[in-house]
This record gives sequence, C-alpha cells and structure tokens, in this order.
Amino acid sequence: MTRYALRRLAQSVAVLLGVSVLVFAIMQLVPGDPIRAALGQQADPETYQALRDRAGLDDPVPVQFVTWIGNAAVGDFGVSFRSGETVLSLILERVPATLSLAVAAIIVALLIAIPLGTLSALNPRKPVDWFASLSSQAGLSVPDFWLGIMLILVFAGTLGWLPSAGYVPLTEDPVEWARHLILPAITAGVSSGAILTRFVRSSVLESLGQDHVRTARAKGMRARDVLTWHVLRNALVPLVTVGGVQLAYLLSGVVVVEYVFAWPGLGQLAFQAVESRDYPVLQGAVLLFAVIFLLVNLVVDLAYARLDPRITYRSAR
Amino acid sequence: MSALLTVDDLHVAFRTRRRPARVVNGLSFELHPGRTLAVVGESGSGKSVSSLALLGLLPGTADVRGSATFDGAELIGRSEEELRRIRGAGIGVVFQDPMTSLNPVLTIERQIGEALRAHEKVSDDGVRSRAAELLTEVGIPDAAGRLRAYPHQLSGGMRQRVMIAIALAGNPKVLIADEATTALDVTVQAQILELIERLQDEHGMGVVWITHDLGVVAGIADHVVVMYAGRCVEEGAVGELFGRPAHPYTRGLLGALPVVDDPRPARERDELVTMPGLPPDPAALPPGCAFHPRCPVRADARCATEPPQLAPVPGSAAEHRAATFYAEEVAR
Repeated sequence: MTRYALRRLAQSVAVLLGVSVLVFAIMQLVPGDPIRAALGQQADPETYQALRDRAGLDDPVPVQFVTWIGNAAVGDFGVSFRSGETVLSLILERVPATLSLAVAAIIVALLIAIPLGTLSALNPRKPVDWFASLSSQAGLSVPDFWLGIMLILVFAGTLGWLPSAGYVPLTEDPVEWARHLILPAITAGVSSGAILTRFVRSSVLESLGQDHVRTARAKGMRARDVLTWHVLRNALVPLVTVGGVQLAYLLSGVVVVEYVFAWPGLGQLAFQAVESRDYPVLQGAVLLFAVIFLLVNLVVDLAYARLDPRITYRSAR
Repeated sequence: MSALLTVDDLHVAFRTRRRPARVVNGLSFELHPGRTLAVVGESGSGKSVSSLALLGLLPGTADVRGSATFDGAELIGRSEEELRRIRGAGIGVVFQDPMTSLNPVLTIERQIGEALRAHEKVSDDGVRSRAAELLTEVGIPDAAGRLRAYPHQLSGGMRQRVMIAIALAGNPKVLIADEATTALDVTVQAQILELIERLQDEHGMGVVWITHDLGVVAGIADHVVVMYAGRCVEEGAVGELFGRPAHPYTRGLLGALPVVDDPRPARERDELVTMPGLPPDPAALPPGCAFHPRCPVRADARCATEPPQLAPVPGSAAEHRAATFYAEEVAR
C-alpha cells in the first residue's frame, strides 16, 4: 500500500507539471499587462520597467516558465504584482478560512444527504421520496448567491441571530468562528448536499436489493442493524468517491459563496488575482487547487481499500 | 407425529402497475421433524417466493394470504418483531448464490456473529468460539483462521458452507435450502448435499429443499411437491412420484432428465424430451388448468375451463395426489 501511495504521488507530479504548463500558457494568452494593471495608467515609466524586469516579463516565455517552475519546485511561487507579498504567504493566510468553510460545508452536505437519501430510498414513491427529490432538485437549481443573500436577509437581517459576513479565525474566538461559519457553510453545502442526496438514494436502493441484505434479515437481525451494517455500510463505499470530489471542489474555494459572505478564502484570492491580472498569485492558486484534487483523490482511493476488502493495491511492475 | 411446518392454501400476489402477478396460488404442504420435503418446479413457479413469504421476507408490494403454522403458531400476518424472532432461530435459510448472499465487506466471524447475536446476548469471545465451532461443524478446516477471512477469499463451496453455518447458528428446527446447490460445481454440490443430510440427522431438523434439480430430489427427499404456476400439481413420496408420475407436467420434467447409467450406447439412447412452451405469465394465468396450453396429454375443453383439484392418484398410496383430470391415464 505504501508503494502504491508513492507511485501515485509520482504520477501526481507528472499531472501537476502538465497543469502548470496549461496554466502558464493560458496566462500568456490572456490580454492585458499585469504591471500596468497593478500600477495604473499614470505610473512612471521607470518604476514600470523595473517591475517588469523584476518579474522577468521581457524574458522569452519558455525561460519564464522554467524559472517559475524551478522556483515553484522549492516552494517559491513568486511575489504578488499587486501587494508585493509572496504568493505562498498569501495562500497560506487563506488556508484556515477555506478549510473551515469546506469542512463545515461537506458536513452540512452529508447531514442533508445521508438521512434524506436513505429515507427516500427506504420509501420509494412515497411522500418522503417526493419531498427528497423535490428538495434536491431545488437545492441544485437555487443559485448559491441567491440562497446566501436570502439566508443573510432572514438570519442576519430580520432575526439578527447570526453575523451577515466576515470570518473570525478559530484560534481567536471559537464561538464567533462558528457563528460566522454557519450561514456560508449552509450556502455552500446545500448544492453538494443536493447532489449527494440523489447519490445516496440510488446507492442505498442498490444496496437494499442485494442478496446479502436478505440473508441478514433471514438471520433474524433487527431492521435497524440490517440497515446500518448491510445497507448503509455497503452504500458508503461508493459515496466516499463522490463525497471526495465534492470536498475537493469545496476546498478549491467556492468563489460565489466567499464573495457573498466576504469570506477571505482561496476562491476569493483567485478571483481577485484574475481581476487584477496578478499572474503569480493565480498560478500559485491554480496549482494548489490541482494539488488538492490529486491529494483528495489519493486519500479516497486509499480509503476504498479500507472500506472494501476486495480491493487491494499492488504496485504494477 | 404432528407437523413442524404446515402451509395451507398460501397465496402470494405482487401488486404491479397493471394486473396483480399471482405467483403462488393455493399452496399447501406439511413438513415433519427430521424429514426432507422437496419443492420442485421451473424458475418462476413460485417456490422461492413461498418460502420467503413464510418468513415475511417479501417486499411490501406482496400480498400474502392463507395460513402457515410453524410449531403450532401462525406465521402469516405476524408482526415484524415476532417474525424476526423466528427467522434464524426457528427457521434457518440457505440461499442460492453464496457469492452474493454474503456481505462482501464484512468478515466471516462478523457475519456468523450477527446470526448468533440476533437471538441471544453473546460476548465477543463467546461469538468467536461458537463461530469457530460452527465452521468446524460444516467442515471448514482451520476454522479459527477462516474467521478473519472475507467472503471473496473463500471458494464457492466454502462460502456455501459458511452460509450453512449462519443458518445453523440459531439452532433452527426447520432449514429451508433455497436452490442451495444450484450455483455450485457438481462435485461441490454432492458435498453440500451430504453435509446438509448429516446436519439434519444430528440436529433432527426438518428440511425444505427448494430446487429445480430432480437429480438432487431423488437423492435426498422423503416427500416431493411439484409446483407449476404457483400451485402444487402433484405431491407424494419420492419413490412413488418418480416411479409413477401422475401429472403430465411431472412426467415431462422427468422425461427431461438424462439417465446417467443408461447401458445403451449414446446414439441408441432415447432423446431427452423437452417440454414445449414457457411457464405462464403470473399476471395472466390461463383459465382452467394453468398447464393446459402446454399439456401433451389432453388439453380438452374441460381443462381449459375447470381447474383440476389435487386428488389421490388411483392405484397409489393415499398421500400421492395429483391435480389433473387424467391421473390414471398418465400414471398407468
């Protein structure tokens, strides 16, 4: 298994290299001058040229790429054109906020999806099932920003129970951290929850029809135990994959939700970088998103072997 | 001797979008302790559905009517909790496909343990030693080592032995073997048959053997019930039923069976008889005798309008009964 993990990591490096080439190429194709964008039209030509030189923007593109990738390999992603801070510190600064939001959102999603999906699978074509499919349809169709705004209006505005926006680090004040987290987590979690609900429903339905579930009932097991150990336990295996993809998606920043709630996460960072043509930041962020996807997928695949004993990983020769 | 399991006029129909599918239509049989009853029929004749109906294991779309008493207590219409107590402890089941009937992600120990724990409080150590005992009893070597295995690590025959161990865990008085050897190789089939016979002797269980394999029936059954379209069309002691089949359907089934020790050279042997046609659609059963559209014997106007009832076969023991108007002609 360790060898398998190592081999997967090696493959990931190749994928990351490919991603960097693509990202770099796209940056080159995007019109606009990043230094001009950062300094404004009235900047004095000498400062402008100095910054261009420092960023190496007049070097041939392949040279720029090799320099960038060489630095990135040792953890130096360059310096933001806009703020002058290092990209790494800008990203690391945003990680706690994004991590909080993503984990809270996936928990919200699972809290919606597992009970609702299971209930609807257990009562097919009954009112619960209709309700579940209707609400998951609604959850998928409602735009995040609208839901976010509605939640703010109701819970922050009318009821005044929760803050409308902003982020408080966990280390600073856990209670405020949680209070600030609730609305954005619900907003971001609802659409994932809607997707996962349908998935849980079909997975549980499939599981319910398995012969071993009949065996479990024929043993005289209690219905609740059959449901937990033979239906849900088996339905969980494929859920891990889909849940993993959702988590990776949430981790790479839910731009709209972060925007609505003024949440200082990675999505917002990437969005601002695009707006201001802050290439180093954008490149760093996109590369990080790729890393997150690869890591989550690796963890999912390794978790699979834990959940389903039929799967073993051996390194191919 | 009073019967252990009595099924009386059992009906099962599945609600479908169109007409209900009437899968079991008035099945009756009795099982006595220590005896083996074989229920024979083609796929879709309602044999498995009947056994699942007894245990309340059918989906909610099934309507079950009639009566079935186990140990003197009625099963049909009992509450889920009451039935649960009977499942495993009173009546154990071994299903057809040991590949899919065991949960692939749980260990053998856990799956046997569940059957033990379903009916009494057992400690972890108690489960382990009892599970190992059961595995030894069903002929699995290195039982302690196998407890930690997952189903995919065992062969088909081993898995079926595990299924039997699970069925035995609750010490049932009745064992239902639902096509328990169908998915297995012939040599393994023979081992499993032998194993169940041995266990039956040791535990004094009554066994209901559901199968479409008449070869199996001839080897193990005391009494045979032949099912067609959800009804018993003929029943009797195994020797009598095989020797003097009185229903055209039974005769057809027996004609479709190869004779292994036929002394004649291959090209002179009788060709295997195949029965024309297919079993009827349970949502559109033919009127009269359900078999009449396929019947090679008569299929006259009476057959098409009046369903024949089970009646003693002339010239046989009283318990040999067939549901046909022409038993005498067929049995001869």
